[in-house]
Amino acid sequence: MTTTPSTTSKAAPDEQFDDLTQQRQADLMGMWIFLATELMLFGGIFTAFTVYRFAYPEVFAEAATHLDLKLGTFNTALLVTSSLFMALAERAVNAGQRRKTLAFLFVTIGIGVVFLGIKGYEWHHEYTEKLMPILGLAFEYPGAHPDRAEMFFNFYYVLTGLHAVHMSLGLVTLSVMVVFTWRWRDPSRLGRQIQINGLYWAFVDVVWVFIFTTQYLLRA
Amino acid sequence: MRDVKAPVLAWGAYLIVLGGSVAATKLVSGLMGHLFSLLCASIMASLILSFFMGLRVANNLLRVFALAGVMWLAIMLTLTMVDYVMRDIGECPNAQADDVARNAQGCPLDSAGNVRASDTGA
Repeated sequence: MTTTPSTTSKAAPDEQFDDLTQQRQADLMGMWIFLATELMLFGGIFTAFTVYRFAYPEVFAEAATHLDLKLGTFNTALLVTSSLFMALAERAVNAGQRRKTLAFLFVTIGIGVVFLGIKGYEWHHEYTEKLMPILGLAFEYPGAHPDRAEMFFNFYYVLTGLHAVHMSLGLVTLSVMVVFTWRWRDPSRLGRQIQINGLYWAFVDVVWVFIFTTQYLLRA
Repeated sequence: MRDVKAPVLAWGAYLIVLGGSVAATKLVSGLMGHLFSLLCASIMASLILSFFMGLRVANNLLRVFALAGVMWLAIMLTLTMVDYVMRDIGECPNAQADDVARNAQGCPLDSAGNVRASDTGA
């Protein structure tokens, strides 16, 4: 959000606002408050994880080695790349460039889909390794203290699953933005909408940074 | 399009830090490696917050709201972990300091060499 949406002389604020600047500030403030509630959701899970990570450091570090670090790293790079294209889409819409905005949104969505595909592949691989202690599936951990390792994988699936849900919702809202951009009826309003979506998409990226670090990198 | 250089540079910096973090995981084991990874995560999150979420150019009120979210998380983590660190959860949460025979995890053992039931938290 380093640039502000372009406003033409025809653009008018909604009736409850004095001007577009006030409306834009309200938009951003509302979104940041929403993101704070999201932080509370993920923060509680991270705090619980930290407690158990402290209690069973060796088992959790060993369990983390069963995750695919290469795929996790690749996915992390993918997600930040999608955030970059989302930021470029914001700049394009503010510059009144419809085609570029559409292109950047499509790339953002495409990368997001690839991210979820890779995540799904990882989950399937862990399922075949019998490392998926959810929904009554068999859990056969090869190392010591399988009960504690099961706790690690429970956190792993809750965190990555919740993150995937958030990403899916983000993809839906980005798809709506594609439709709005295609119509190009009110560029000023569209700029604000894409800006708000960009905040959400980047927040999902921030959450993934800490999921990746705590689940994949803190290993033995 | 204006101001494209900053997010592209931030993206490049993010990838460099990510590479450093993964390399450190392979090269530096133990607590130091973990602390370095967490430091790298903080740097990567800061890059996103600053350049992709606009805190770099946001007004102060918005920055305060963003900081309040982080502060809330810090308070929750700190208070929770202070409690658990002081109460010594882990292998033998109820262990007494004056026990003599201990196993590899430092848990006190009874005369038969077993961890006492009262010290396992069971």
